[in-house]
Amino acid sequence: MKKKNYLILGILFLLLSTPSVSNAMHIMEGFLPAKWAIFWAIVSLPFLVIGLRKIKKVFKDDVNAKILLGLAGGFVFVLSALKIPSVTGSCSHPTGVGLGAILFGPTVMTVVGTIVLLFQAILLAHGGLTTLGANVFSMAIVGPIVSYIIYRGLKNTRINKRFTVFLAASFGNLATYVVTAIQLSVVFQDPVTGLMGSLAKFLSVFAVTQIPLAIVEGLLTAIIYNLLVNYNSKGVVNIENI
Amino acid sequence: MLLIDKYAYTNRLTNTNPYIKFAIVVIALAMATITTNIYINLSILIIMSMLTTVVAGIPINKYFKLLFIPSTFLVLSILTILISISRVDIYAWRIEIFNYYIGITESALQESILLSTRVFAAMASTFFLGLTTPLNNIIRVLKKMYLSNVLIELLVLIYRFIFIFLKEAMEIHTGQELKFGYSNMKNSLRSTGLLISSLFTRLILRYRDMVVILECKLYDGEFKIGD
Repeated sequence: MKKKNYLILGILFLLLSTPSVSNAMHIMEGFLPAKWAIFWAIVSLPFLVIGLRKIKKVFKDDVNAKILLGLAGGFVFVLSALKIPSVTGSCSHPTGVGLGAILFGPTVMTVVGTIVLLFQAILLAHGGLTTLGANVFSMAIVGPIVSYIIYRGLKNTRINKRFTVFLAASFGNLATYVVTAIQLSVVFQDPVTGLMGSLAKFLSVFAVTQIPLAIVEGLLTAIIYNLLVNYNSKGVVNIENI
Repeated sequence: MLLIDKYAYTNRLTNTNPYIKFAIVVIALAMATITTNIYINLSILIIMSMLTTVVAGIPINKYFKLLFIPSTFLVLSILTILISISRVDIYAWRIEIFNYYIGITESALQESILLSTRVFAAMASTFFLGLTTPLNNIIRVLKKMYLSNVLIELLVLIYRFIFIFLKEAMEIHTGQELKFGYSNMKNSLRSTGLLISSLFTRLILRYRDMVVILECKLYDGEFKIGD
């Protein structure tokens, strides 16, 4: 118990010391011109359809999975809305999709992530409707897939399970940030140095906030994973992937 | 509980036809993102803010507060686009450090101005939808768009749980505050950690209760969504 408290303290210290930019994960409303907004929406669409198919199958097997997914979505949203006390006054938040990808699979998380992003755009003014496609691609498609691959790859090795979860979640978060930087730099190419120049600029600007945030996300996910494992062994929730 | 959601249910346009509102917002968003004209963007911004504040009756000070929520992202990204570094001097305004020029080019400046007007025009449009249309009306529109039932069910479920969790988080927060949980830095760190972990424990409890409740109501895996 004592150990866990120290871990939580460590996470929050990182969160506080991050000069946080709450919306760095999401491209804000109206930031992308129509051409790119539509492009990313079309790229994301097939993943969403596959996710929906998968979800329908899951729901057929287990009617209660629907509630669990709903709860997971709500939890992810509230985590992002929580005003974590922060030095700069704005709030920073983890994406929370890494855990979902480990538990439910990446395609299912695409659907939940899309809904959460929609609510964030409408209820919190994080992200936006026109940039929904781009944000879905970075946060609800690439992030979960990276997390899932890392988790699957390391699951049966001798590496500590919690460390595996930590790695999966933080690299998922990092992947989201890299993809966002790429999306921005493709559209806003540097007038002098071109694509690579603007990519370097965006990566370095957001690195300040995103790298500590990725570590926080990893630690937080590992803690929640632990809690889940406990509940799973007590038979409260039934998730096979754990 | 959430400011935007509260206004969605209490403004003067709550019960007007959601299809019309939706169409207005789609057209405004399309115009803002397709055209590259500062004046069109500015007029969208003005029309949309008028619609939200004067017609729907959202208090102006609250409205502007909301409009500036994502300003940190905007400022950071605009600066990133504006400033570039290179060895050649093609800048309108620059400083020179060790043979490198750091400066702002004419085209980057124009792009940034256009971008900021577009962002505010698009945000005003989305806020019009968010601030005047409650979720049940948005769902009506989505159903008309033949969205998959599973997606709509999940939408409604997540929406419901958001408020359950927010309420619990706020209650825990109030309780902690009354016990001086946020009196100094160290305490507030600890309190936030406890808040997140107990919130998650409650998630599991909610799940268990809900399964029992639904079983009592002969739940067979489908929620009934009206009209």
